[in-house]
Amino acid sequence: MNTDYRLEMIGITKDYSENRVLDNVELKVGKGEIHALMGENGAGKSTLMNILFGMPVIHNTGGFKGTIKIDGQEVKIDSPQKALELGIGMVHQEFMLIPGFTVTENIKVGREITTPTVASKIFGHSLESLDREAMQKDARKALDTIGLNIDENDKVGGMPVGYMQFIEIAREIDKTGIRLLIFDEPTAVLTESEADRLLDAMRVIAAQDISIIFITHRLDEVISVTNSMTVLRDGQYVGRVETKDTTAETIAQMMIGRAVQKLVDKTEETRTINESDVMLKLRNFEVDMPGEMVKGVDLDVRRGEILGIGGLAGQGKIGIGGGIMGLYETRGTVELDGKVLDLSKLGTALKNGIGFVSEDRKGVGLLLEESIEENIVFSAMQINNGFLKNFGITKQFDKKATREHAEKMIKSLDIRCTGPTQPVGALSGGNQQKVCVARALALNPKLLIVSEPTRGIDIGAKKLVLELLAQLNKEQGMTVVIISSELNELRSVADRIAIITEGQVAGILSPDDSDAKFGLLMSGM
Amino acid sequence: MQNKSGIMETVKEIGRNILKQKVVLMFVALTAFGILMADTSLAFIISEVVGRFSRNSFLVLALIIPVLAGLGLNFGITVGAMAIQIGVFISVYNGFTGVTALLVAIAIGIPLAILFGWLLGKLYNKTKGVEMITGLVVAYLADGFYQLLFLFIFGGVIKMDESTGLIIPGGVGVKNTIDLDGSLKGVIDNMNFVNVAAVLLVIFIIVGIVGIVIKRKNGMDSKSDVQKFVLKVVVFAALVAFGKTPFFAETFGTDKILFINAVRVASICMLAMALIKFVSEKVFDKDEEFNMAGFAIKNVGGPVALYALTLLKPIQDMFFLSKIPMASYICIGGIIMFNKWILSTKLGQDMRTVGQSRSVANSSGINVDKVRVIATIFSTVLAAFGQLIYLQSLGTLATYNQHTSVGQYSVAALLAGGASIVAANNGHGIVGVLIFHALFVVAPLAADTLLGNALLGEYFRVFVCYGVIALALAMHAWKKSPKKDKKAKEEAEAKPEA
Repeated sequence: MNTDYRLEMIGITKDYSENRVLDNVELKVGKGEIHALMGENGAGKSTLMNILFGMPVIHNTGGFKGTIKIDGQEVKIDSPQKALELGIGMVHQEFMLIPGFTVTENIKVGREITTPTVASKIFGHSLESLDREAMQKDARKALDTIGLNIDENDKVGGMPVGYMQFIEIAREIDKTGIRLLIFDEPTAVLTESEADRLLDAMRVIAAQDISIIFITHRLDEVISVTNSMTVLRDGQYVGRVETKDTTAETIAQMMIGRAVQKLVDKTEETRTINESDVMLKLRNFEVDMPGEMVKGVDLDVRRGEILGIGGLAGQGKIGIGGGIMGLYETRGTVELDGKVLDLSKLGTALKNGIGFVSEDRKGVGLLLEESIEENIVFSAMQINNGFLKNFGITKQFDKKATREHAEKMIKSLDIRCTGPTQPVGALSGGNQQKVCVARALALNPKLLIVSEPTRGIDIGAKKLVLELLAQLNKEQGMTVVIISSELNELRSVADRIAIITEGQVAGILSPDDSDAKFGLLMSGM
Repeated sequence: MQNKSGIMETVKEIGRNILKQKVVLMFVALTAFGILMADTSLAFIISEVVGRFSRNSFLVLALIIPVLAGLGLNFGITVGAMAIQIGVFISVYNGFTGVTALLVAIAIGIPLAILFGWLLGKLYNKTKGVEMITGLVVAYLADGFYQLLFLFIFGGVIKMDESTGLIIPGGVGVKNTIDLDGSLKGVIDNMNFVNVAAVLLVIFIIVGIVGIVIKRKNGMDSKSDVQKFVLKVVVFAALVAFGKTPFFAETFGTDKILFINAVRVASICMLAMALIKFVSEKVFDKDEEFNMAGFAIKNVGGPVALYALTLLKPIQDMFFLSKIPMASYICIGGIIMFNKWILSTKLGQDMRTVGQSRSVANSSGINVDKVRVIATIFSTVLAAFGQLIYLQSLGTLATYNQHTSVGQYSVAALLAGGASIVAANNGHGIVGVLIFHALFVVAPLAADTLLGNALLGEYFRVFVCYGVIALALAMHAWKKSPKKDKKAKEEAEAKPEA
């Protein structure tokens, strides 16, 4: 509908050391248009926005290829300051607000209105005094524009989250010459009514000839508020569509739609899974993990199955694993074989036979400076006094038993290393992951929870790790829960896949269900 | 019924607000206990505290700007103290006396303080998040250089004149104690404050005129601005003229004056300010909603009541030992005004922004590192002035350890006043100095009474200082514990539903 664009990004290509994250991507936003930028995690949305904002991370890693035009003029954006000068503003996902400041001070931060004084004439501009009245007037105007009726002299700290989002927006539109505003998942933290008001505010802003790029995964919001959208997938440009010409199903298809390549070869089914034999039962399970809040999950894990837990980042799937292990505060009940676990005590889950491989391999999972064998046995030593010689008053490390066990594990899990004494920090990502699995196995768990098992490892190693999990399940009958952002890998190994959206189970699908079904569940529809 | 519960709520609210100041309460209680225990007159304790207040407040108030800029408690003010001590030594060594000695010490010490502050600020930028420990360690390191300078370089490398009596005879290095009697002792304390006020009046007139000219150039002046300025000058000049009369000098005195008289002078000044406010609002601005009765109670009642208090015999007895060095108090007033003024400028707002969140400041185009360096320089320079006021009041300079505990004592006082690592203001500083030094004075006395050993008293002082720091930090940490934060959050979340 709009032939002259506010923003055109053409042929954008970006490599992070050999790894191509954006490949010939195109983004066009019309004047006064609300344009959605869609895609799964890792599709390249944030890299594209970083390029548009001139973030240092782009220029420190070799820049990018392609051209950016604003109002038809080709521009070079090499710093955030440059982006601000060009009238590009951003409403951040995490609030860039100062709780101890008033609304006015927050809106005017860094751009205070000042009047010259005697001291400023002598010592320079920075000693000019603040003109609080004029600042308040400006703040009031910005707040009125978006329809937020709060006192501009109130402190921001303690205000509801919804207000903070609006203050953030008010700050952006208060900047003079703002032409393009980026909303990065603005509704993720809002309640439904707050989100509705935000969408209204977006319409008001767009009506003033300010273009909006709206990043979100909520399809219903996209359908209701945007004029058009661009969909990215795996760094590739999928297409640009007008919202009125499309449906939610089509969009979901575009976001997910890739041929499922099974990472693990299907083998003959030898297991018998009894649907009513539930091993782990979660009821109304809530976890306070910052950034991955779980808000009331009901989920059954059947004995002998591989259950996949998927969903977008920040929706709470990671929190489930951490919560069961007692790493975060939880509410609700967790039953293992009919026994309710007291998760307030750290280590309860481990003692009851739940093994865990953390998503944070280097931070939580491994002692990088220590040897492979010590890494494999250290939880077992801590939890059930394995690999220790008991001398009554003291317990000593059983070197011989440890060495034997480590060698066995290295062999059976095929850990590529120079020997059991090599520090794990020197291993490749995939092999480190295997050490993590070996550590969990040293506890002889009944149930293994693996969180993001393939994060940060290359495709060949991915396959090995997944095969290992499938093999443990098949040959030893171990029940496995895999939590992963990569739908593809869940669809390769899992028997069932639970999709977590906004901290709750949106639905449980079979690996062979259609892309659109997965896409819609992940988008909260 | 409702009325009753309303009153209960108010009482509870007041209670909660008092409890919020539990750090201060704790120290007030300790001090009160100490005063009860100490076997001495209240007049003596008050005179000691008043004296210490004039010596130490400036140093404590020098700590406020770095707290606001997010640097925490700047233990590094010690280097500012060292800078001015170098200035003082050189000034005294060259035989300057009186105001000249003061100006020479400033001329040498302050540029040094700026340099040290700049270096310290640069270092703080490299050690973000651990500025406090950095400041402490830098103070020790700087002490090493300082000793090298005074023990070896002065006299060893640079030949010094032994006849001044400042150099160890036959040896190298500067003597342990330098007597400032006859050179710097009491230079500020004994200044005629009416003359100081006269100088301030001249500065006020110049700054005011230039300010109005600047405003006019920017087209932002109004007629009442000029009227108000003229009014202020007239009242100010009248006060100075009054101070110049022999009657004033005889009744109140002109340098170190009795506490009672100082309060009387202050209440006269407050009445003058009320007059300015009244004429500005009622006559120049023609404020329609001007409330005569409210104004009178607020602005006239206070000073009059204060003056009346000074006429009471028990009050006079309590304060009869206390003398106020007026010029030093004018300096303290000056730094309070400075702290306030800096916060009203763009620079001050930048400092607060940096202090609250470096990332927000950065994304708003504020040069975070530069602001932090400026804040450190301010603090160091103010500390140098503070140490100068301290030294001229004390009258001797303990060459090698005068500066060693400046940082700790000032920090302890600020904390006792209710400040924390992230929040401090002038009020905290003033209350803190009063409480901390009262405790400092009574602790040895109380220990003497309780334990019967005067030697233990000195030990108690050190104990009080570090005890205050540890206790205040622990209490603030307890106040801020994550569990309580969570509880508060849950309560806040529960509210809207209710």
